[in-house]
Amino acid sequence: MDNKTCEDKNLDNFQSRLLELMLQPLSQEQRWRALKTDPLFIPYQNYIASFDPRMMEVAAQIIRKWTV
Amino acid sequence: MGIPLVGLSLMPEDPFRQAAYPLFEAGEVDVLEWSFDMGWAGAPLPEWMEQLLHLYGQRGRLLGHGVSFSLLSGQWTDRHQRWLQLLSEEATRHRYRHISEHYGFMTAGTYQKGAPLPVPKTPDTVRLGQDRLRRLAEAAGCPVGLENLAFAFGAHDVWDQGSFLEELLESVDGFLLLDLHNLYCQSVNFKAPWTELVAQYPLHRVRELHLSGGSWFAGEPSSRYEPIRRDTHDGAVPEELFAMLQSILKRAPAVEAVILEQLGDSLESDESKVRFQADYRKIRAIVHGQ
Repeated sequence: MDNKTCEDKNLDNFQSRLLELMLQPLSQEQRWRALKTDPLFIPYQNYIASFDPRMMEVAAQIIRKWTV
Repeated sequence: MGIPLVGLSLMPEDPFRQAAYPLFEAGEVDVLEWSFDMGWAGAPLPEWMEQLLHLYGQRGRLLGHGVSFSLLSGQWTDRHQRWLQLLSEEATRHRYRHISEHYGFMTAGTYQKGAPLPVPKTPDTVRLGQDRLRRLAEAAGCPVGLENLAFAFGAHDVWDQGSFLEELLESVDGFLLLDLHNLYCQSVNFKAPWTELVAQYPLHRVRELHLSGGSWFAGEPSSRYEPIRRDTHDGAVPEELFAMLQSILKRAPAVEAVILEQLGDSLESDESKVRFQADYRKIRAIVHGQ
């Protein structure tokens, strides 16, 4: 198999920043503002527009729990 | 295709061993699934586990289910490369009928563990996932598949997951591990009929089914939202899943195995053990058309 692995820098930036946002003690409003304005999220605005605030709350708890 | 095999997800905890023992003793466990990467980091497995893994492997009745590869992380890391190397070694140590992993990502940046999260479907992410799945298939040396996720950030994750899985699996002629409780979580959380959700999935590729229980997440005390259903594997199988199982078995002609999952440390009480055994026997009766 070709050893050159497939990477997606935009995706990596998106995932890293998303997890950081979930870990920070922010309000929902602060998280939403970051999702809409942080340059790392620009390529995924259509995807982010579908985010459900309830699920954001769940994700933040899941991620914080796994990081403790 | 004959009657699917019915089995358990093997857990290292004593409460699981106590709950499952009557099922093994009665010869009712046709197949065993093992999350092999759980056994890579720590002490050697207890002797009773090694014996079961060897026995079921020798009989062609052992399924592998990875939990920590992080298929759809944007960056390929040394951790991924090491994981595949360990998988190759694992596949020589135990004989797996097939190996599955989770759709989604769980590592990025400095965050190195967690539950799998969904990924936006784009041509680039599909291409990345196909590459990763090919590498997984090469390391595994047996058929590989992916499990659908419960968690979704929003509607895109719910309605794109089926087609995303099909495009990934097509590249390796892989199989779908359809987790019915994960489907149930999305159906409940997004108020979407499960029959409409499952119609998006490549049912012709379903080779394995998972059933489990879960829990309700109420959020912060100040939360104004309805509780969310989560796939925490720590409770009885919801009644709705038995009807789903009956329906899916008629619609997915290639199912080979149906697995009950429950975390060992949620089986401490006698009541939970009895319920676990009852859930298992109910699944088995449905699969056997009784």
